[in-house]
Amino acid sequence: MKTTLFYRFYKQKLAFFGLLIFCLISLCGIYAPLFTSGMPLLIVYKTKLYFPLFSHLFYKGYFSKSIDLFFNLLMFFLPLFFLIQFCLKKNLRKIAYLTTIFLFLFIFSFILKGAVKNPAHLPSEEWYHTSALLPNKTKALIVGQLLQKEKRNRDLISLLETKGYSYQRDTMDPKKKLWLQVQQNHVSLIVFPFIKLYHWEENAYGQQEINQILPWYHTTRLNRKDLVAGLIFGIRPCLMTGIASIALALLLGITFGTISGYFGKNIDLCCARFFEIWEAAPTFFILLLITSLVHSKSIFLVIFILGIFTWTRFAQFIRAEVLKQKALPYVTAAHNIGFSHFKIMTSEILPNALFSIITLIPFAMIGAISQEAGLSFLGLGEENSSSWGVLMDEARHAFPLESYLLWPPACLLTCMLVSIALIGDGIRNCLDPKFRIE
Amino acid sequence: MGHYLFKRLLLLPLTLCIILLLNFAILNLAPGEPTTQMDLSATGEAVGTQKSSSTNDPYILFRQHYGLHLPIFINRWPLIKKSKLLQALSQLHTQKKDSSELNYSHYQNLKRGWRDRGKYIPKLLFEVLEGDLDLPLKIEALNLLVNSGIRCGYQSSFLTNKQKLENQKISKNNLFLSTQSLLKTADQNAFETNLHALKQWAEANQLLEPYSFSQKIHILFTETRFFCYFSKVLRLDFGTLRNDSNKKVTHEVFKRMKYSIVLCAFPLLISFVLCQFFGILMAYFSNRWIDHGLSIFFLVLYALPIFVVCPFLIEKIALHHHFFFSKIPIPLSGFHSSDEIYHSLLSYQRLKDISLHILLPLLASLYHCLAVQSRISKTAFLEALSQDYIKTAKAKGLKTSYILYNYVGRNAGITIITSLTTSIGVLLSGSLIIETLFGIDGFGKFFYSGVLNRDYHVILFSTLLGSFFSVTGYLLGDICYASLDPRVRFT
Repeated sequence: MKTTLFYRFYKQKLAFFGLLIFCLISLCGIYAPLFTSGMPLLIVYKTKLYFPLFSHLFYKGYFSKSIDLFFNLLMFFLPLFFLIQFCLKKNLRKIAYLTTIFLFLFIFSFILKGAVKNPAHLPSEEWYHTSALLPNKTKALIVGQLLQKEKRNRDLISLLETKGYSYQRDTMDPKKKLWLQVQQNHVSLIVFPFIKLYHWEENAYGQQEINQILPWYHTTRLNRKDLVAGLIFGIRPCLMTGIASIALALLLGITFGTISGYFGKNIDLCCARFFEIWEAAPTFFILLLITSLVHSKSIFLVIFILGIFTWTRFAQFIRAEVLKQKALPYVTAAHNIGFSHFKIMTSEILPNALFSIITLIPFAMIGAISQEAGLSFLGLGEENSSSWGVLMDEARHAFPLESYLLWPPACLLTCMLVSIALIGDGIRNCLDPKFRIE
Repeated sequence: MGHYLFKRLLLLPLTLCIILLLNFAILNLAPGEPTTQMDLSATGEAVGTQKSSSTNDPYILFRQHYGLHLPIFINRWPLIKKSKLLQALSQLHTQKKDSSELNYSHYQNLKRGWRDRGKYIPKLLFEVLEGDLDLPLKIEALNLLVNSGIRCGYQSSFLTNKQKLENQKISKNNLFLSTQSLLKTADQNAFETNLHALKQWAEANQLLEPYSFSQKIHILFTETRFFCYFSKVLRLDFGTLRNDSNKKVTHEVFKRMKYSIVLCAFPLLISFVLCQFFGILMAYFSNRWIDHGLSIFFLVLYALPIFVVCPFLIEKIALHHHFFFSKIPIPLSGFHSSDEIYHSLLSYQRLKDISLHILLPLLASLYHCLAVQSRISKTAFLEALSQDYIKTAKAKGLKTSYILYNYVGRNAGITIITSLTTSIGVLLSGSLIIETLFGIDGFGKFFYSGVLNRDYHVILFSTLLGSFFSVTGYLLGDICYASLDPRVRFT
């Protein structure tokens, strides 16, 4: 009978279900532009293939938040990581991972500086008069964008007519419309994004009256941006906070914990007192303080502060583990052979101590995601971000007229947190030697 | 154990001191203008306004009240060198720093900073004024001298005679000095006359004597923000509110503390009782439907964030609905009814009124604690139930209830109590959102509005109180742990 870790995890149906939900949500979040964006994915114009969305993926003018650009790049690198994990041999894997990570950071730094120019650069306002002079690619991109706008207007109007509400949203210049109708004949195939046809940062022109009539998945937020697009793109800051702040906390916690546990006596005494003092500082209060003092609000500040204040938990845990391990004879043997302190810490003690910290990580992630959503809810996170806390904050302001906006982000946040908690429970049961698989 | 307890009790004030120091450093070293005032709107968000930073009296008074006119840790201003002064004068005059334009806020900061420094270097300023310099720079130096001499008097409802005399002297000085400042376009004659008058004034007030060594040491340590604040703290004087200087911070906080304590202590007690019940249920019937159902239920409760539950309770349950089997409408906000109604009620009616009002907030602060404690107690009971001595006791024929009470309960209780005491600090910070949304005038809301107003005294005292509760919680947990488990020995 197989007794590997993954098999033990897989056998617990609930935990596996949690892992599935989490993977589903994070894939949705990483590949979010495919599900909801303002450009079609594929357009065949004059028998040539063009990809409007992919041309705009790294363009800073379209995706203005750097988190979006990060995840857009990750969209392409994720299959690469999977390939490395499952197809390469073990020796090559480390080098392959390192090279891909360096490549990723290199390309990301270029994108951040604004290396990608506007793919659909228009020379003047009334461009459709001289449209014959534009290159085919620009025409294809623009035609695709306008066709998408037409389609979503048509869908909205037909939906509202079934509810008995007549709605006019005709904002296009008639000459432009004529030009579009001519160009439409050149288009043989167009593929729209799968779920919604709005980009989360663009104005969806919703109104309060029609919001009351429509079902929740067609409504707009308080600032008139699309709700579902905001929800899907809101997975990105959530994931980023969960992983990045815990990574920072782990880094600090493991370093300080190992140092404190390994070199006993005086250093241990000072470090243990330092952990106590840092832990006793009330995190939420100091969080509020720092975010309100520093005037530039950004998500990286939030991640930094969350990481800075959760490392003590890991440090105390690791310190206890390292103290236990240090008493075992293999450490004395390693010392006698002549290994340096650093080598003993990293290759002998840490692999055994880290094993039990895996159970702490999911619950720490839940705490970090909750706190980030809480900070955005209070208005101290990044402004105009798609984070779920910001959505819930807007809904709270609209109480009680448009307060139905509160429930979709709340449900999604709860689903995410519950799935991570299920994974955490599953891992804890896996590693518990007394747990029996039925 | 007494020795360990003694060491921990010694450590308590040390921890609090270091936390206070940390907060003080963060507040003072952080960028941002202290006069930015943000208001708390009705829905609990932060709306910002900026007060004008000029030389008007309330602003100077504000700076003096908080000691912002002094340096933070040590005061080396009496030792400023002449070259530095000359450099500053040229920067102030030309409004340029290393040939790049200073923007407005930097220029204001520079002006303010040198105005504070000017108080300690009158002799140097006079040296500069009588030396060889261009006229514009000399005018700049004269204005600096005049502005740094202007002080704020004592402002309070009750002044002693000594303070009144001081105020008279200060106002005479201020009156004289305000006539002596010069425009930048003044000519040499006006400058000469003003300089002469100022020199006479300075000699009359004994400003030109150099500082003795002991005076310098005294200034070095005691005329700093650090010393100002901490000398007051050691006398347990935590300052007054920023907007209303008659109200003391400690008084305001303790006035609101009773609401927050009720919202924190009752959930703790209730969840302590309930979690043991649920824990035994889940552990005894482990891996059956009850266990799975309750586990999932508590998992969902654990993952629900509080700012989702509060609006849900307010909107879906409280709004337009009544309590079960009665016609009483569920109150939406507040700790008790409005003051007129509350004061006219008898004591048992008051109790009923309060309990109706805090039912929903209690629920909101209870659910998370209950979920966490139930999970922990389930683990504790499971571990105790799987021990060998339980099997022996069952084999001997003891009753199940006897085993559960005597053997399992005592051994599992240790873990449960320690986890309960360590969650005191968490509860206090969680009460912030509940108070804001339910409109209860409690400690969390007060602290939050203090943070938005940048009321330094309130912030420092509140963080101190919060960490005091956390540290006490940990200490209590350790004491309980040591006293309940005879195997634990602290070396």
